[in-house]
Amino acid sequence: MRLVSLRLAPFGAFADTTVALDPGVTVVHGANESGKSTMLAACTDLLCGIRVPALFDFAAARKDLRIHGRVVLDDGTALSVVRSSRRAPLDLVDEGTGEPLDDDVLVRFGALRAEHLHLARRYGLDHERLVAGGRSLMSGTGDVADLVFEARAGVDVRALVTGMRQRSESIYKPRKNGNAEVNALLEKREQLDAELREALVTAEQVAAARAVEAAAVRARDAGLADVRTARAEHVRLTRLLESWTFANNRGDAVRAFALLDAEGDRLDEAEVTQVVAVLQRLAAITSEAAGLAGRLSEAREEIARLRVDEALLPHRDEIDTLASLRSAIDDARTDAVTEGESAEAALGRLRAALAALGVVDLDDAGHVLARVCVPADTAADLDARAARGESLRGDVESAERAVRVAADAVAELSATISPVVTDADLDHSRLAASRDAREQRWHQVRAAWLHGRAIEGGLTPESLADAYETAVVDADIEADSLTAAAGALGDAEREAVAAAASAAATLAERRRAHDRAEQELTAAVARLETWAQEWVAAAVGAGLEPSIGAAGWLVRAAVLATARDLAATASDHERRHALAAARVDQWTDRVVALGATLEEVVAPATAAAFLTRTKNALDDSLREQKAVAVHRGHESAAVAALAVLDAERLELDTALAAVAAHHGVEVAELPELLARAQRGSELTAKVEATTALLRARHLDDLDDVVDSLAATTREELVEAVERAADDAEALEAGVELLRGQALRRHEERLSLESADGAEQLHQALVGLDAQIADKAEAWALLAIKEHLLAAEVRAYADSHANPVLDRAGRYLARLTDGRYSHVRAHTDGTQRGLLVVTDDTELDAGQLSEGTATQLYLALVLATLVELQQERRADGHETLPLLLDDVFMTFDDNRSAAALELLAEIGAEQQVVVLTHHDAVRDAALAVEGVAVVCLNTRADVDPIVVIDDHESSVKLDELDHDVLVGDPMDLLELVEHDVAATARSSTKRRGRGPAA
Amino acid sequence: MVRIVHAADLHLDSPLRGLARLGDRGLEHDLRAATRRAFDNLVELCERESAQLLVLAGDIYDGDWDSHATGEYFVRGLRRLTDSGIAVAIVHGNHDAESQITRRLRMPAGVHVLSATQPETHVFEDIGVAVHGQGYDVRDTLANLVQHYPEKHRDLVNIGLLHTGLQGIAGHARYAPCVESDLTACGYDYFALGHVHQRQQVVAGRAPAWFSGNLQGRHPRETGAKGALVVDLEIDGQAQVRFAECDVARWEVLRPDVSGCADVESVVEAMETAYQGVVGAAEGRPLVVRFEVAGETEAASELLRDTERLDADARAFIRAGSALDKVSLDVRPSAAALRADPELADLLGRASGALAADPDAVRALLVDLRKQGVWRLAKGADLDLDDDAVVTALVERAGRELTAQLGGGI
Repeated sequence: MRLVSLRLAPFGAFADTTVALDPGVTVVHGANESGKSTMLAACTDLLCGIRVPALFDFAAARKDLRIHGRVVLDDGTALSVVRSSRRAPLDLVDEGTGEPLDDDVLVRFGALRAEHLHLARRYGLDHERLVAGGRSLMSGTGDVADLVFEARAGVDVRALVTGMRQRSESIYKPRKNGNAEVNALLEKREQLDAELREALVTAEQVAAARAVEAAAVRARDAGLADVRTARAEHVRLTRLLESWTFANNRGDAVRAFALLDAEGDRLDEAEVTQVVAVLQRLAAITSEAAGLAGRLSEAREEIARLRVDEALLPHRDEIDTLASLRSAIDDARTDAVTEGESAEAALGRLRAALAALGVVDLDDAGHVLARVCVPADTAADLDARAARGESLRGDVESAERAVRVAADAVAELSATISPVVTDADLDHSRLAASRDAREQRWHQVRAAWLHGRAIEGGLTPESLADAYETAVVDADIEADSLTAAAGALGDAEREAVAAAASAAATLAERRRAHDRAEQELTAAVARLETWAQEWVAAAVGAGLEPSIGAAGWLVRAAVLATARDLAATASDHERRHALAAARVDQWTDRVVALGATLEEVVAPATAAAFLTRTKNALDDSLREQKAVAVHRGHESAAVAALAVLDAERLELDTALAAVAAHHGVEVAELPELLARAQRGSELTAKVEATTALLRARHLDDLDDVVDSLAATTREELVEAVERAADDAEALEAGVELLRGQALRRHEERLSLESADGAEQLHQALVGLDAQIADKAEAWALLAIKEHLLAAEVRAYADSHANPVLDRAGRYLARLTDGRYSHVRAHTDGTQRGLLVVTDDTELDAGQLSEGTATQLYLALVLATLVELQQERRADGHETLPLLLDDVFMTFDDNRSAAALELLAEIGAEQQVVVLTHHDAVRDAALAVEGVAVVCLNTRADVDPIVVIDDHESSVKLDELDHDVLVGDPMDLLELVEHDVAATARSSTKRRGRGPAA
Repeated sequence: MVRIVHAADLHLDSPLRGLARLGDRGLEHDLRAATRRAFDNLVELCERESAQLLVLAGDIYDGDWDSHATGEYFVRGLRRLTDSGIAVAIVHGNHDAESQITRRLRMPAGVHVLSATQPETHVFEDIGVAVHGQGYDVRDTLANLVQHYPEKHRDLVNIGLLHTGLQGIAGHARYAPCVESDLTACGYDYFALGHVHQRQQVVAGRAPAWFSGNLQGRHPRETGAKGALVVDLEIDGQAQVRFAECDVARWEVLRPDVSGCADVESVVEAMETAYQGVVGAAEGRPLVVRFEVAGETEAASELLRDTERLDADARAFIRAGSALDKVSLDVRPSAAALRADPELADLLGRASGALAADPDAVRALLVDLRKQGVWRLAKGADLDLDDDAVVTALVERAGRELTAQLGGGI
């Protein structure tokens, strides 16, 4: 198909712009930012669909983008379609109807549905690819096979292979430490494996650990055994060393014994015992006797010392008695003094009391007392009278009070009484009136009833009766009320009268009371006077002054009472005093008498002291007497004991003598024999003891021990003991280490047995392996695919390369202006390369300059594309316009011109659109017949599209700036329709009409 | 009446394949101890069912896994059983014969391991059961052991224990091969078999023979519920066999039909539908799912262009508690959809066919994988490039993928 025109409304920066394209070659020229890319995109979007993401939705939203396209299919069908971003099938609709295209049309159009990239790649070429392709040709890596395959398959084989290789390498690199997924997994796996090996505790390891532990335990036990042995040896040697002493001692003892034997005779055991006992006893006796003698002499000395006063003894009882009375007598003495003093005191007070009574000059209180005393009964009488007097006085006082009270009462009541006033005013008038009325009526009734007179006042008999009744009633009522009033009045009167009467009565009573009180008073006074007289009489009778009143009497009486008491007290005290003094004297006399007996003159004053002295002496004597007795006892006991001892001594001496005689020695020699015997038994005991000790230490080998001890010196033995001790210590230190080791092995074994967790690591490891396997599979697939693809490409290209190469050669010739005429492929073993043929020679593509290589590449691409299009056409598929984007960038003017000429040729077969920003290319295009030029303006105020189509005259663009020259697309379409059947394109050049037309 | 539990193929601490792909760390963690937990469940099952005896028909461990801790774990579980008064009888299988753990481990009292050098009968007197069997002393025990099994005991319940591949699986060594009649000839009341991981009955009738299957599926090919058999037996009576599950995770392989799918979305929908269909089957356990998307489909080229997208989409609809093992893709475009040059497609097909017929040439292409041990590791993870069939399949797949990729053009 060919694109006739494109209307972008809107698309990219174009709000509503139409571009007409030549059915042959159109060069679209525009500076940067003028919309070239937009144009290109619009072409592909029209064919393939508005891409997502829309790159050209910066001015309008994607949903608003619209590309209107006029296309002519290969079979001549003309279509006006609108492409939008709506969902299929509405994304491509007929412009006129707005309906989706018919299916058969759509098939031809829609069969193009493909990736935009594919389209651009497959049916296009851009600058980068051109350059890259040229270079790869130069370097011998690119080849036509790829190109052809790519064109056919529509896949960028290089990109595919590169992609696969990249993916492959990212998955796995064969060398260690490569940066790839599998390599990383392998590293991780190695780590995990190491961890697992560490963590894995196998049954074997446990068994091994147990064995190691057992060995350590055995070593330890062996060490302990060695220690025990060493210690035992040490003990043995030590014992030997100890035994040395004993053995030594034993030997000494044995030798000493022998010497002893040599000395002489000795006592036998029994004799020893006996003699020892005897000697002991004798010694004891001696000392005892000495002791006794001492005691004896002591006793005698004492006796001599003690003195007893004999004289006193007979008087013992008397002395004791007197002594015992001593304290009592002392008390009596004291009492006497005290009593005397008390008596004095009492008398003193008595004097004082009597002085108060006016009695002074008292020499004998008792006498005076008697004088002033009043006999008791008289006193009592006087007391009574005094009391009575008091009471009588009291009576008088109370009678006076009563009189006063009565008088007050009378006065009070008199004041309150007032005359009774009765008010007997009663109103009788009403009663009188009503009675009159009644009278009247009665008269009327009488007159009428009794006398038959006529009733006056117009009353009838009945009414008269009523009237009379009424009058009666009225009168009664009045009478009642009056009575009541009178009654009331009478009551009031009566009350008043009664009250007055009672008041009067009360008053009279009070007056009478008053009178009585006065009478009483008089009587009381009289009594009192009587009494006073009696008193005086009595007082005189008692020897008192009559002027002394009762009160005075009482005072006096009290004082007398006191005085009496005091006198009594005094005499009591005196009595007692006398008694006590008497006792004292009595005692003193006795003491004096005693003194006399004892031929001492004792004065009473010193009697007590004498007695004390005497008593003490007596006591002393008694004491000494006792002591003497005791000592006498001692004396005799000692004497007796001495006698006993002597007897015993005699016996013992006899025994000794016997023993001595037995041994034929003197008694005095016996001790020697005894000593010998003792030493002998000592030595024997020593020998036995040491032998026993040795035997105890060396049960079975006593003789050996003895021998071996004999064979060695003590020093040697000591050394041996020390060595043995050192050995044992060293071994013990060693055992400590072994013990520690055994413990550690034990703990190690325990920790091994309890270790767990290896299976988790194992699981993780297996997981990693699975991942590695997955990636290995992916890698394998990629490797196989790459291999297949490469083989494919070769195979495919083989069958299709030749026509392409022929055409490419022709194109190259055109491009290079005949310099290179052919292109061939060659095989050099596995390498495939391209050759270009010049007039004389063949050159490898790798030997070309960059510019020429680029031309070669262009030739190849164009050749491939054209071949492809032809095949497509032959297969009934739609052809597509070739889109060349800035491919002339590296071309100089000549080359550009040559290329354009070539394109013009190709344009006869199919549509080519070339985009460029080079002015030179534009100008060259203008000069080539059959190439249309479209300029894109960057000036904002001018419509962007200018079609320049005039190659007969070069039109300067500047002059065209203000004219908007856009062809009417419909006109173009018509023309194209006519032309399309022919392979020659329309050379219609039109100058577009301005918009005003 | 005697109640026993029959289990086999514990493969304690054998790793689950492909867990690292799960992408769910919590689930990964849960599944790691799966075999151990399945074993715990077995112990609890015995206690719950008040079984008197547990018989294990071999393959307690994985042959080449040597951890002491594994053995300890097993012994702890056994001890729990013996403490509850449950006796245990074991025969060793091919894995056990290979394992170091077997050699070293001391069994607690109450656990009886039958001899591996000659047929043995062990009588459990207090429950009135005689267990007959012989274990493997070497991995490749290829003799028919059961033919020499001892006579049954009258007045006791007789149980046979045997680790066997029966008539064998093609391409694998035939362990202790035998036929059904060998089993019935012994006349026991029940035959407890081990080695085949899929639970199945081998002999029907009064005295059946069963493979209990393993306790826990370890990779996607071991799908469905796994566990042990609870068997009630009487002397000369009919055995009552009942399955009890012990597994803690389930596997499923889903092959959704994508032939009618025009694009990736519909493929994902088909996958999701297939997934919903099985999600309840795991009964609350983690479900690990592998999708095998294969066949001719219009969506092939779209799928092949971005293989990881399918993975991501699948993960989106996998619920919590399930996990995706992987999505393996082996699709090819329908002929109609192929837009590549038919000549090209034809050439590709021939080229891949030629290559597929020459596995050694393919291996030459892949020689770099031998470096750093990748070849060997992949083999250990079920990609055996030494196997011609595997290589051929790879080539065919590469060809299809390449065609689809090339077909993406106009």
